[in-house]
Amino acid sequence: MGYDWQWSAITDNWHLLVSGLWLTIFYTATSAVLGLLMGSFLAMGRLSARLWLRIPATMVLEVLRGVPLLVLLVWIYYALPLFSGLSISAPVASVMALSLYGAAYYGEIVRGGILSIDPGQTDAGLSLGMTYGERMRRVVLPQAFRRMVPPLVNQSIIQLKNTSLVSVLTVAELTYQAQQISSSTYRSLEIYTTVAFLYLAMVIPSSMLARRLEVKNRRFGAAKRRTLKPEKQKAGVFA
Amino acid sequence: MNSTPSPVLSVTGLEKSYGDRKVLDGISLDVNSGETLVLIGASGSGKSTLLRCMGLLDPFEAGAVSLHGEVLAIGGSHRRHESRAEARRRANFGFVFQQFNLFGHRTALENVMEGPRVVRGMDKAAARKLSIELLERVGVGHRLHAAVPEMSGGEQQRVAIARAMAMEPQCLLLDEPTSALDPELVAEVLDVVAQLSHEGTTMVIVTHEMGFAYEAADRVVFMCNGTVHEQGPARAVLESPSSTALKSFLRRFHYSSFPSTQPGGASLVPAHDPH
Repeated sequence: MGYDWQWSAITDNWHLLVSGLWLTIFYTATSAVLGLLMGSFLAMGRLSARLWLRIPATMVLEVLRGVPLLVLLVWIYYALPLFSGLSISAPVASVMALSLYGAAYYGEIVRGGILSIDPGQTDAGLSLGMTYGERMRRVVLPQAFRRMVPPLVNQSIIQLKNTSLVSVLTVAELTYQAQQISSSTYRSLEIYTTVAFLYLAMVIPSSMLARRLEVKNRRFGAAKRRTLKPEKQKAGVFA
Repeated sequence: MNSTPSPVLSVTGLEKSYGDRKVLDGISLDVNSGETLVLIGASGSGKSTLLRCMGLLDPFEAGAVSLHGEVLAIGGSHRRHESRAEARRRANFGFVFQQFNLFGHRTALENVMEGPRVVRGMDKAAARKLSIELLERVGVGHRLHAAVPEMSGGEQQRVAIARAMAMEPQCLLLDEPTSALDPELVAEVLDVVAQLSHEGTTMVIVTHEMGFAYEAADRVVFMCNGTVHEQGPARAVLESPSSTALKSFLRRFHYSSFPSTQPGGASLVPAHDPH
């Protein structure tokens, strides 16, 4: 192929890509934190014995999971102001949409994590006289969280990639900057290749970190059967 | 044992169903102070369910569970959202589970300290001292900082017994404590239970270890179809069962599970392994 690579489009506009990169990281971090927070509340609501909590939480989760992020984004930015009368800026709409969308998936991870804990753990907490809150805080959540770390990191990676969608609201994150540079220099091959590598440079270390955390969790993870050293036979009466 | 036994735990008219099936059909039972009561019966006879109801882990439809004559729970009163005081009632009983159920994210010592710290509000140093003493008593003093998966089943169950004892319960409830253990580990757990029994801990044990029941129990209760079918002093009941149901139940156990010692001549010497 006789394509003539010209990297000046990148080097000349590097500062734009860097600022876009920071915004991408900002939107990822903000929506991950808010999404996890909202998702945890929604998950607790879904697991609640109280119907007035369970039904709305289930509905919200289902709706958020069923709507494409792009539609949610555009709806919050263009449609929500029409019926609420509030004008929402593009960054706010972006954070809202990404967080809500993330909340649906983080919520399912949290719910799955809580449900994956053996009911025997709850029984043990009950038998010691612990209240619901104590059992959650001291017994269930610490163990559930260990199991949730890999899927949470995974979902955050998806969140990172999804931030590229907010470019449609002219939020100047990485993909938007790439579009801008591309339309002024016509060097789309160089630019989108570079941007793809920039995303990869953020994603790959995160998934490696997730794998490391998974390995670290093994010691206190699921009980694995160990082969026992032959013990000295004790002189038990009931042997 | 007291000369005038007073019931520590009493159950009156307990009823529980799963759907149409009545699992507990009007059970009344007293557990006296210092007594070791063994519950036996075929699987599905309701003995584990009864134990879980006694420990207030499962709701029941009718009847009552009382502690020292004071009603702790009555049938049908169970709510999914309970108050702190309602949750704390369970601290009166120590519960030992078939599957051990040690807290998976904590070490042996942390498992035992959890109850005293969180529920009894003891300070860390006192809880630690109490827990180490208990772990040493059950023979796992050398495994204080072991993670749960690093321990053998026998060690885990002994830690679980220490965890239950750390609440200084009025009554210890053990639900098939050796059923999930490899055969060579059964003795080390039963020795600990026998030692506690010998020391006068009030306890109710669901077990299939007839040899243990024969040796360590003060009273044996045979359950059949959700009712107390036969009960009495352990040796009398096991040696000369009067009902046909118990006779046929006991026939299913191999003779070797009974000790070879002559009736009346067997003495309980808890083979305590001091490490």
